[in-house]
Amino acid sequence: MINIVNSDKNIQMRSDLWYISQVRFVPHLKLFSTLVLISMAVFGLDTIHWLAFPKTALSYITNPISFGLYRSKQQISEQLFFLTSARTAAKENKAMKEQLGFLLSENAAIRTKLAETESLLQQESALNPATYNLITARPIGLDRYLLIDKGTNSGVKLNQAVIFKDSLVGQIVRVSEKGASVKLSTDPESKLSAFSSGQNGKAKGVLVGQFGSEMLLDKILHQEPIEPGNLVYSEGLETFLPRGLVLGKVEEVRDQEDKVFKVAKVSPVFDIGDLDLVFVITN
Amino acid sequence: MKTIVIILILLAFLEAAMLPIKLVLTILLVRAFVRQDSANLILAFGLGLLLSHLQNQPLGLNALIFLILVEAVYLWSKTTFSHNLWTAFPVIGIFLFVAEFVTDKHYANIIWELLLVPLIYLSVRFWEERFIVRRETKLKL
Repeated sequence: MINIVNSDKNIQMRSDLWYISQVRFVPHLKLFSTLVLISMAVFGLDTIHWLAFPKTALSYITNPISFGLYRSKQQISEQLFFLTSARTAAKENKAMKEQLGFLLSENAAIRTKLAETESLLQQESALNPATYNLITARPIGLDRYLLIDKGTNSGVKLNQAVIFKDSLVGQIVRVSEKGASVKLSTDPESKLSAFSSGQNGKAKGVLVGQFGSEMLLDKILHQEPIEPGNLVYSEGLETFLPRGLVLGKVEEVRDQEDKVFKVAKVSPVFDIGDLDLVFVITN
Repeated sequence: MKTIVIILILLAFLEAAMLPIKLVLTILLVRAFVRQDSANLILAFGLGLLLSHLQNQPLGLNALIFLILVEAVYLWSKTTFSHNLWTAFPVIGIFLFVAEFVTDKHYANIIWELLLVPLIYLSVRFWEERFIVRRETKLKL
């Protein structure tokens, strides 16, 4: 009888120990279960929006703190970005400078081509290409003579006229296979028969180059009218030069009674240094 | 205890406003690994609710995840493998991955969280050993 009672007690104790062992194996099971149940309840209540009021009330406290922290983060990020971007910015700056140099070079090339194209169009409108056989040339230097990049290989010969639009630039005085020198109309050795044309009439003379960028229209008869502002044209008596090309503009007239002829100071209508293209008349 | 509660609340605000990594959960998991007391469950519940509110998530979701993961750390810390830190850190990483999978799915942040785990482990261990007075350490005269 005692044994039976003891065996029942042992069974009961084993059952209790099993429970205790389980409880010890899963630590804080009771608390864990309670909190899980509460969490699920809160989750369920929040899903059906029963916790909207406490959440709104709590937001009055938490939102300003969150906003303050967020603004602080933004300010810190801006400061850090400035520090970290300095190195990147230096590299980018270098790369941008290289790119800028390349673009400037490319832009200059495009501008040169555009200017040449415009010059060609203007030249065609000024002198009929059907009448004059023109060779296009680029100025490549300027000392006493204007150097151009076309020579005998392109059909350029001595004494040919070089023009820009409807104005005379000069005359070929030296020529090689790949280049030529142009004696400008302002050159002291240049002498051209010319006439000025104004509202009162024409005045004939000889256009002589001077040192510098000036010319003198000499041998003008006193009775022939000439005024400042009149344009001076080529007479066309020279074999290489067609009639009617613009040679310059009258700046000043020197009319002295004790001299046989009047003299007019003439200046070119364009600056030689600004020319992108010139044209050689070959016929 | 007050100190760690304040720190965790501040970190919850930081996590919601500034840092997109699960700092609070990482600390809770590491603390559950270092010390198995009931405070971790209460902290997990409370901070889970707070984080859900701050991150505009359904209330109770984070609390549920935190509680389950903290309890999982408890269970795992009773195994023999848990004594080796080289296995402990990856397991905590797996738990963090599970949390990311359930909530935000920002898996890129797990790398940062994993890198922080050893640092947080050392900090929590140092804190718990040196600054927390325990009853069993008192001398009986």
